[in-house]
Amino acid sequence: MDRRDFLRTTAIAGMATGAAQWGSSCTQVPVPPAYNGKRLVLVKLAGGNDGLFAFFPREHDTIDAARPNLGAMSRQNAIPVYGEWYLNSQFRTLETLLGRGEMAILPFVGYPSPNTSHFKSSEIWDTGFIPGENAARSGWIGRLLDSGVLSVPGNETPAVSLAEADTIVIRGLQKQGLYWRGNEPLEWYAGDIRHWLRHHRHNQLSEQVFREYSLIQWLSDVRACSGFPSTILGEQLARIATMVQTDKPFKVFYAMQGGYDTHKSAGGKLLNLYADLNAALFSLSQSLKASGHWKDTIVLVYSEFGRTIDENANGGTDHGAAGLCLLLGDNPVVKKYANISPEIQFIEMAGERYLGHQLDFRDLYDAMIRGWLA
Amino acid sequence: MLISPSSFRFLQVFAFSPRLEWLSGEGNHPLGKEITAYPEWIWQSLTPYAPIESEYRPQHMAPGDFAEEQRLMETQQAAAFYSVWLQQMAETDNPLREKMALFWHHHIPCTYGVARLFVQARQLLEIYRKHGLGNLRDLMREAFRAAVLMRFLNISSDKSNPNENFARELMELFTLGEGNYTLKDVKEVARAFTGRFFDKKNYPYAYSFVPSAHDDGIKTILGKTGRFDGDDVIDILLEQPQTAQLIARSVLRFLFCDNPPDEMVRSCGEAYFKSGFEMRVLLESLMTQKAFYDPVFIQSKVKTPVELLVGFQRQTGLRTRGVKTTNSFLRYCGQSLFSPPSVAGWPGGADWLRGERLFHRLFLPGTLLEISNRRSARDSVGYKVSSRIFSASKRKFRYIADAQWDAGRFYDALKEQDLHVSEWMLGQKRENEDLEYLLQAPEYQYC
Repeated sequence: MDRRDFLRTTAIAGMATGAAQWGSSCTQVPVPPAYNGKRLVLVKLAGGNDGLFAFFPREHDTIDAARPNLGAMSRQNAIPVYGEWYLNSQFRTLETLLGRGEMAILPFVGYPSPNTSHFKSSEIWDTGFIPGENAARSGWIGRLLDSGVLSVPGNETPAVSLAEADTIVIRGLQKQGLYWRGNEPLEWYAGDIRHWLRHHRHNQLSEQVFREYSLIQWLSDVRACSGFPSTILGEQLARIATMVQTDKPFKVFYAMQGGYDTHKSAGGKLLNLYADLNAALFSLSQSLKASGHWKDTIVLVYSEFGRTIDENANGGTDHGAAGLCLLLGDNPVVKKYANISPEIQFIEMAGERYLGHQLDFRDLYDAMIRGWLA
Repeated sequence: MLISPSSFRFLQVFAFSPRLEWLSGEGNHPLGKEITAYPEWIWQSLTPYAPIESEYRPQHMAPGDFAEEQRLMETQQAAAFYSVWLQQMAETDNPLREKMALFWHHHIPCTYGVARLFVQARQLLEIYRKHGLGNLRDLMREAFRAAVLMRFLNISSDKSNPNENFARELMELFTLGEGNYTLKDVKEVARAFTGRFFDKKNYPYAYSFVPSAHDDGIKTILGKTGRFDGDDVIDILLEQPQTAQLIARSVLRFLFCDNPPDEMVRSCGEAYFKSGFEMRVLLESLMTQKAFYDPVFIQSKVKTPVELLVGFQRQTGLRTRGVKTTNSFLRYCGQSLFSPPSVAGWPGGADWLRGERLFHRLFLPGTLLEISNRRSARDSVGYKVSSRIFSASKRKFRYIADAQWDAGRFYDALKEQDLHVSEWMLGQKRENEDLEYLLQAPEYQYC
């Protein structure tokens, strides 16, 4: 048996049975089963995106007074979308999806009693639990892995995170998705791993070595496809596109774009981030459209919180409450959300005004689970 | 027998691991003494604070690599410096000062990369080395005046619009923990820290306080009212037992166990609080507890990449001195120094074993040993590794610059002491004595 045979057999044997069996008992099994059903791509804007810079009403006394500089900056060449609402000029290409009902802009998504800590609020979004309501030791996708509803033939844990940073989203109590940072494929360790698996006792770590190795082998031919921006986000989405187009057995993908914690000089930073976001998401939609996968894909873009309505002395904003979500896809779920018109509500915390939520993110998750994945 | 499981454990926790040289009687070491003598040894052998030598001299370099090394030293100052620091961890008898400086970098992390403040990052590291084993008040007062931290945590702001970022991180991550303060406290602490800046005209950016930018008004913080400034806030936070508890948990997670028992955290935290936040007291409380030596805690913590690399070097006598060796290994394992993934530092625990990191660290010892066995300059790591192993991605993976190992000395030393390799590497006896097998044993990933 040469190296290639070994990779194929071990990878498949373990995946098919769900239990690692190695040593001399490896047998020849076919290539990974193709998956061709519905998919969800989660894109987290890490740091707390200033939704009001992306999508805002033409005139609003309170908002306009609170952010004179940022408000003026976001208005430059802004795109009128519907009614009295405008979209930041950087989303010019993505806006074409809006006209076709393939994008929903949900400017005020959040939860009751907002938490303004990155870690806590990320945990709330990632687990779907609000503190005090329930214990949160698993991610919302992780729990779906535990329950088996996401299983596809040949892969019980069809969720993958491509983000550099850790996330609990795809971690359940019993099962977890793959953390694939997409560095160089580790083919050069193949000999070492084979040797290792043959010679070390079966335990938790060896099971993990086997599992990670098998999954990585399935993905070893995945290269970022062309036409995407060569940014951290662009490359993650480009690899997702390839995984979808080569029918890899994964159902949920998690990508991350960092840099949204704009306490200082927010305007310029956000324009750059949005330009990247716009190009990467548009490339994904075009690429999947061309390959016929767009109808089976939903992209959910979110952030752990929005930001303060007021700009601070450093030309930035601080941690806020409700924030912007985008839903992309050519299907009834997205169309349903595209028809909701935005309503501004204010809430008060520690004597200051924040944006209240019009939509609870857990309702959005529910729609993703019941209306799409399950 | 020279080394018992509990003395091995002690040395892993407080000194990264025993050094090979100790077997031949070199250096100041506790091997052969009763375990009760170890706590005394750790304090008595601690060298007084002195800044890390800044001059980097490449040693053991294969001649063919020298020009490349010279270039790297100039272009990658930070990487060169960290390799000197790691070298110090591997080669001093008692690296507790370095370990606790590393702890503070985990607990109050920052990155120099955003603004390229490497010189300033070194200043912060020296604050951690100087006060890391001392009083928390001194450490915090100095650290929150350090330019790199002020930049990373947005400490500097004007009273017209205080920046809440630092105020929140200070209470949530560094002292009290979430749920022990209110949003109102955040806003008031932000006001107290206004007026702090670093002087950009005065390289390397000295701290400057601008009274006109400071909000001198009355604030109410955690129930106390007064015209507080930043140092007053530190005093208020150090009146809270919860601060001692949070730091005790953080210390125990860093040193001892991924999920330290509440009872141990509580008693260490109480001792820390009673002492007025003297780190030495916290550590003494840990090392004198009976529970610390309970075998159930052996291998209860995933080694950090630094612990893995430094511990391996101490035990085997293998030395790596290339700029890229330490830096790239740490990067691939997810622990680039002064570039943590977030202001909460490294998640640690099982996260170190996730994804490709697992393979980079699992096979590190094997890779290093293979490299160190090269025969000539041309055969040297840069070439060997890139051509043989990383042929597909030469540029990205050319990371091992140099490693040197005297296998004969290693085996002779163990033999002379009648020690098994497994006892020396894992702190316990194993049937299979094959070195490569032991180094890649699952147990070696934990401590």
